[in-house]
Amino acid sequence: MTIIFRYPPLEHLRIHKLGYMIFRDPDFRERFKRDMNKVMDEFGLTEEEKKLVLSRDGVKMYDMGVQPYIIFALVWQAFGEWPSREQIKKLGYGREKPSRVIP
Amino acid sequence: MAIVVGAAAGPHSPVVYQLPWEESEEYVREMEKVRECFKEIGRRINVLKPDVLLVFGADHVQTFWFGNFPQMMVFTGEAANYCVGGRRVLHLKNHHELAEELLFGLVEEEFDVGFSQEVDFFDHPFTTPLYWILQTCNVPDIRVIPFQLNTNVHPRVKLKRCYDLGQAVRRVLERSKRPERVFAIGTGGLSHFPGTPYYGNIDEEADRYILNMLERGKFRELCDLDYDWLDSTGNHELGTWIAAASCANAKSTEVLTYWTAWNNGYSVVWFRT
Repeated sequence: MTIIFRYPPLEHLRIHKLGYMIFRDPDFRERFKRDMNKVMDEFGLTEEEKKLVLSRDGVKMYDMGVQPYIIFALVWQAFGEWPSREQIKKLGYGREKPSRVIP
Repeated sequence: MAIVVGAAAGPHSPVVYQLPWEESEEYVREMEKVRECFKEIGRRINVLKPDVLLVFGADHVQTFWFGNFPQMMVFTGEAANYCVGGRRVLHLKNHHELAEELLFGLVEEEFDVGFSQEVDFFDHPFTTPLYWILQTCNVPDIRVIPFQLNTNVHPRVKLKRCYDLGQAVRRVLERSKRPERVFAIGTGGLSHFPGTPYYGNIDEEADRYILNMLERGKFRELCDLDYDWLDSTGNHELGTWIAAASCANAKSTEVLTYWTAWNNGYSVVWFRT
């Protein structure tokens, strides 16, 4: 079963909440960029979660179950960047898509 | 009685609103064609003279949070801001009277739709198509009704349910004593994999299968597709298109454009009634 836009695992609630705020609030984005560690502390992220966010490794985040739209916020939007063709090549995107059968 | 006078569908990517990175001349030219198709829909809407644009779209964890994430939600407030990435682009009046009729009528039809009377904003799933359609749509005093259909965070509303919802919307409107004319819009798609390691792929074969089925009016048959297939092909947002087509009782589809960009299969369609 290939479900890509998955149910958000409860264990990622803190990361998801951080990403939600980044996704929707331009002022919050600026505050996050100014002092990422302070903001992550406010959201109660564990050391491991903080490392994951700071890594900006969207592929790893996806494989750990972080919700794709939150990944978009954490990896790109937080830094005013977009997944352009050049950017995604650098970061290991473009994984071969799942197999499927055309009816 | 209120009536559905037509329906259309198209993409909602923030990139369609405004290209945020440098691209080739070809990409820019093709993107402009997509926007032109939305403007063409705006011109066709002028001829139909609707009072309301009923927009089926899926929140991307921007309006709603996992503290409360509705499968179906109709906005019954007075007005709302429409943003892209949280930055305000439009402020639009809502047809809250008709939205309330939809809410009550749909629950009576056993669709347990939630409601919201106040949101901070709706984002690109609603803003992008409305922004371009309203460049040319000049029907005086036209109002909108955003209708959230969760197609983006699993578990999600199935395509069959989206089709049935469209039919129920039509029945509720036809039972109404209100005189409004409604134009439906589905937003999203076609193939794309935002926020995932699959981003940078599209699935042209799957997109063309869907478009071919739509052109032939095979809306019910498309409802056999499940989220396994839809996610595998990046077509997870198809339910919004099905809902719009269904509430207009579409017979077939005119594909105004289909473009295979490297990051998204972009298509704008007009549902023939």
